[in-house]
Amino acid sequence: MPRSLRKRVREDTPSEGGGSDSDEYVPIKRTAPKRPRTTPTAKKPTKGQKKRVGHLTGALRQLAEMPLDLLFEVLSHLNPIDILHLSRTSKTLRGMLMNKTAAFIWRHARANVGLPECPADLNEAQFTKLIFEPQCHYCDGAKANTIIWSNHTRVCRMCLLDSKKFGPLKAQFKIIQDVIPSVTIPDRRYGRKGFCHLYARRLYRHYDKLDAEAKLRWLQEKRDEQQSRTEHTNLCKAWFEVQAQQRAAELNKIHQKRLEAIEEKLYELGWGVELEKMEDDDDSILDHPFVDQSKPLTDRSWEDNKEELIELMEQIQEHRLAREYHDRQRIRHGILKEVYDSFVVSQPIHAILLGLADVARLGPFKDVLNAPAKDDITVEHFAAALKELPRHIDDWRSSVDGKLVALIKTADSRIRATKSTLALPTTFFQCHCKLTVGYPQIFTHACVANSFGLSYPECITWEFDRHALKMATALLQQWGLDAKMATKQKLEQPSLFVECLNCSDANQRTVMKWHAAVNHSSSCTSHMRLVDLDGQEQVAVKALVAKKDLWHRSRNRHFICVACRQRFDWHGLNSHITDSHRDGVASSLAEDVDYAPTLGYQSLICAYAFQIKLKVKSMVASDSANLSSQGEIPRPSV
Amino acid sequence: MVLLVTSDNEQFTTEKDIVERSVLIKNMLEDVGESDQPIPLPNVSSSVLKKVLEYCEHHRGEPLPTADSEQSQDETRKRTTDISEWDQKFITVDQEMLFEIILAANYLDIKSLLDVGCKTVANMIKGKTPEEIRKLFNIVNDFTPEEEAQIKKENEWAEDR
Repeated sequence: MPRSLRKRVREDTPSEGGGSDSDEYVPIKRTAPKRPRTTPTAKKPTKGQKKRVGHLTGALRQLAEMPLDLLFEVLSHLNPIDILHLSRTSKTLRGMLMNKTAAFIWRHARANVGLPECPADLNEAQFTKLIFEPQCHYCDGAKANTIIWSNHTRVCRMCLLDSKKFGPLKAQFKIIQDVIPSVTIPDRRYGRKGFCHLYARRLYRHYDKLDAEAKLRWLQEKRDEQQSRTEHTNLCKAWFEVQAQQRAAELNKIHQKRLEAIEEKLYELGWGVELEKMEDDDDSILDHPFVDQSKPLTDRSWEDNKEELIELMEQIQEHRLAREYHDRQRIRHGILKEVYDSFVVSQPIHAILLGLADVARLGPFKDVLNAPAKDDITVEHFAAALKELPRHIDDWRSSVDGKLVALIKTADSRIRATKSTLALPTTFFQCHCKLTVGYPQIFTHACVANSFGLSYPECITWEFDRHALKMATALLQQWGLDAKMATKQKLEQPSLFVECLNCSDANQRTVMKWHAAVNHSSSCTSHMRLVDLDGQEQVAVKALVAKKDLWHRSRNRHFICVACRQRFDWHGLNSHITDSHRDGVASSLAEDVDYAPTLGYQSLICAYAFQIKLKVKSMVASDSANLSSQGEIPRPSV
Repeated sequence: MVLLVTSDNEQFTTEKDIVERSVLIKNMLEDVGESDQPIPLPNVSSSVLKKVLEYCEHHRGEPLPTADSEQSQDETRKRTTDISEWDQKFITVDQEMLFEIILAANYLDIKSLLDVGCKTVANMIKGKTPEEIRKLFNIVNDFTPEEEAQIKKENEWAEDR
């Protein structure tokens, strides 16, 4: 069965006004039908001019000519406020309705709305006015929503806040405090008790004239009077509550009908499917100002607002389609991940591969992912694309290499750059993060690599680092080495470090790998030398760097499990170690890997990030992202 | 079958159980017994009787309100001015006819029809301001502005302030 708007109406609970024990009460608006709007052109007739009359003028004139019993029969169906209004139409009607013989009409009217009896201190008309007319008894204003039950008056907010009318009781009146009408004055937060000054003065004047004995008697009378009013007040408050509930239910019913009508109209316009597919928590239609009203839908208002609702439905449809696309892509990407993971583990551990997002962007994979919604995509659908993947990766590498060569040429036209230039020890690029990065570390630099993919070179701006070239060339010249590929391989040997004599002292030595040395060399060129660290020293360096690197772990970097060759982000790696390598892995693994020339120093360090492993027991990981490559060895330990 | 003659001398033949919704005619038939004599209705015109008979035919067979039920309705009071859909459609007539129907219902003693008529008139009054009611009844406002202001305060009250 189609879901409908009406089932989704929020159950707005009626504001059950009152309920407080305070003396005042905020009544609901009467439920009688709204009086017709006066046309803006309607003007008050000037003297002598014939009064402008509406289409109903004189419509009921015959009623006045009818037998009295029939007139009363009609009146017996009216509410008190209607009788009150009738009594204000002409002297004759007022005379008739205010006569004691007409009391039964008022009684009937009260009974029609279930209103309690008229209190002893008011006549029917006064009582009706108190209950139904929001006219302020203190300023004649039209928005008096507070009833002070102890003196049966209505008061507006302005009067309540007027300190000349309501406020703290003056000291001289304290003696009669409990018989002076009080009210809660709406204050910033909690409200405060205020007394009616007018009544206080009047009552005190009367009290003051009495002798001692009469004073006591008068006070007692007033207290008894207040007491007797309480019961009636409670009845009236209960009546207001019932009215509020009925009104809320009535409004809810009208609102419900309006929703049904709007729903029907939208169905007619062909939006039924969209209504049925709307999410449970999508209240955009219900919250629309045109929909969220408690009045019947008219054809005119529908025509006036139809376009706006259709626009909203179009937006809802757009969101729904986007949501469905997203859900579909999430499932399909899950399948792609499964496919690609199995490809990744089949590749050399430090192979530079595309990230999953980059693979998803490749034509054949994209075609499968964007297959029509009705197609049920499985692993097999990616088989053909997977076959082509190595070629795509080669193309990608080649394309990126070409772009990097172009960068070198652009930066310095004197360099006859080719792809082999990239592998020279003097070739460095600067990332927008200002870090100098060599090749091919550029592929795993933290700014471009994360667990989702490599976005090089689109997402960041690289520049050929001419300064690094100058520094690297100077260092190599100083050491008598050629800027050739073979030199780079030599420099990347695990035991070979560069020591900065300038930064070393009697207590510690400062050593670093080649590319860090190029970064460091600006100030210390003439004080750097190549050193071959022994095994113990190497371990110390790795431990220090690993320690220094700890804070980097949570950043967007990815890691390769040397046991499984799967790639993860930091959290994924932790889960993987816990799930798959709780018991540790063969120690030989740690020795075998990490000397891959492609990743150089960083893999060396990260393969030895066994400082972490020692803490987490079985963590065997290789970080393929760049990290700070400078370590300081305390001299005593070497 | 019962023969009715209207004020304009038109004759209507109708079934007994239809016409007996009128307590007046019902009592008449009970008093007179089976007779071919036409029942004169000098206070009802043919156009009005036609409407009344339409109402009676629609509601034929429904239980007539007893004195007890009327009393209990009066006691519990709380009368609503809701009118059934058919009745509402039925009573959608011009004002002249509306009052004719009320008068006829009163004369023929058809309580339910009288109720429908009176409720319809009451609904027209409900929620109206005094000025609007004046227009409805063609009442001339004979209060002076001062008097009008005074009655709005329900004067006895004003004295008490």
